[in-house]
Amino acid sequence: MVPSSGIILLVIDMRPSRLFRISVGALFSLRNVWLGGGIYCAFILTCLMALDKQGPGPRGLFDLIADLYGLHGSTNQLMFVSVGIPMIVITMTQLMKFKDRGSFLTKMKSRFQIFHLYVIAAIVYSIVFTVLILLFSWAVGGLIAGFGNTWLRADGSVSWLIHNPQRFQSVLPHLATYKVVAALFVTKFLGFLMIAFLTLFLKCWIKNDGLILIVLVILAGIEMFGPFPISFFITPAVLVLENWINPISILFHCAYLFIVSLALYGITGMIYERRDFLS
Amino acid sequence: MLRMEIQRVTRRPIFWFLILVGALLAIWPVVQVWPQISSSEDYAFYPGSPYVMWMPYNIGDTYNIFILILPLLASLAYADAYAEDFNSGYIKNIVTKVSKKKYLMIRYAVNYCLGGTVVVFPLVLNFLGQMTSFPLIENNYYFGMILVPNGNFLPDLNYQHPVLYILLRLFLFFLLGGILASIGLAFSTVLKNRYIVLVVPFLAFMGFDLFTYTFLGQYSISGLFLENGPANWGIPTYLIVGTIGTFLWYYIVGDRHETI
Repeated sequence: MVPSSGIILLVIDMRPSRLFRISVGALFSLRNVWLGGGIYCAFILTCLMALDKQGPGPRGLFDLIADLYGLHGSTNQLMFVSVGIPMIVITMTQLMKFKDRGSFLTKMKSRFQIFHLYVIAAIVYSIVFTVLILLFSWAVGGLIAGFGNTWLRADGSVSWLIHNPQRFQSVLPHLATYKVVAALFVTKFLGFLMIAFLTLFLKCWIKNDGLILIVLVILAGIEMFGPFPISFFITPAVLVLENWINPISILFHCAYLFIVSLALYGITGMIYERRDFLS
Repeated sequence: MLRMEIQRVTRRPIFWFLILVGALLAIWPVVQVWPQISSSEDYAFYPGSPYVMWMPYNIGDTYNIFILILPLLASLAYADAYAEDFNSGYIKNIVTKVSKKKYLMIRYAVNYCLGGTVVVFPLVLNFLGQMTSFPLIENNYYFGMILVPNGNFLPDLNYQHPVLYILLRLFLFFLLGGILASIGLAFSTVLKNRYIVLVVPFLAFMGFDLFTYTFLGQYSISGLFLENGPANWGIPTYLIVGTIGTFLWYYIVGDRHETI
């Protein structure tokens, strides 16, 4: 088989399960990234939760994890800027650097498979990263503020911010622990997935990984501080008090993140179909 | 070798990209307060002047973005040069013509100055831009222009010699940028992946700033250098430790590397 780029590819049987195994294996073979990144993430997340503990009002476990103002906490905007974006960019670009080598590419059947190797890695990484962040936040946050769900209590931060007992009673059903954890998991996972797909997309155009990071950080900065009141990047993956009061908005956030991820997947896939791996 | 370094830097597209990003961040606030947009009240009640409207004082959208990307601006310019030379083998060509110690010294100095320059450039451009918009009215503590209250960084100097004060603040920015660029360069002696090297200063700054902000409060590195906050011994301590520490690390470890 001689594709347009001129690379002679050795066609070997590549079932989806094998592609999955190769992708996951490649992802977890980046041991230094996992080790260094893990230590860095643990340090930053602990600092973020300790910082949030000093905030106003009552502070419980979920306040340290998902502060109701949306900035602090181990799953909010500062986490995305200081942990989420850098770690995803480093991991995805290192994976691509490792797998974009000719010796590996010649074993793949098509460009479609090469692209899907990265897509699987992005999905698996987003899931693992979300689970690790939530588990670590739960463990450290629990040690700092106790393991109970204080949002359900009348002296909790949600009640303190709402200032209306009747309204608080109507919000209570949305604050069950399993619902909060599920909402956090889905929004963070989709947020990380979108960042990972955006990294794949930018990597097609930008060779310098540092430049990809600066572009994503500028995008996050424009969203956080910029003059445009539009949530287009990391804010949809961050939950604030209004989202817990009106949970349907969480669904809209998830739908937005999913659609953007899907669009990036499609566009990047098309680019990969025409990519010249020789240059 | 210095001339070669300068030629090499100016031929890097990333350097010009960073200058462009800095220029955009500097010009945008000037366009926002252009005299046609300002009202006469801006002059009557609180005289607008470059000293008042300068980015670090009149903190707006672009300054926050600037703070966020500052470590990347400093490191992306040239911090990966040593790793690049080492990986490509280019360092062998250089050390056959100049001693390795000289190579390390010049590389450190160029990287330090370049990191500082890229960081300072938007601030200088913004100040010049504000000078095109507003008259250069001297600061007056009793006129309501309380920019630097007691306890902050040298308030007397700000009111008596504002130009000197601005130059001093720019110098601090320059040194911070140089240190951040040097962190990347120092890491390049142990990490040979040049892209990781570029990202390390960003991670180090984020981690250290978050740690100092959370646990040491008034010694927060962003509070001391990037915001108009209180001044204390943290400023000279960070500068001395950052500059000497990164230099010793880079110089000693770099010198021990087997090159040829």
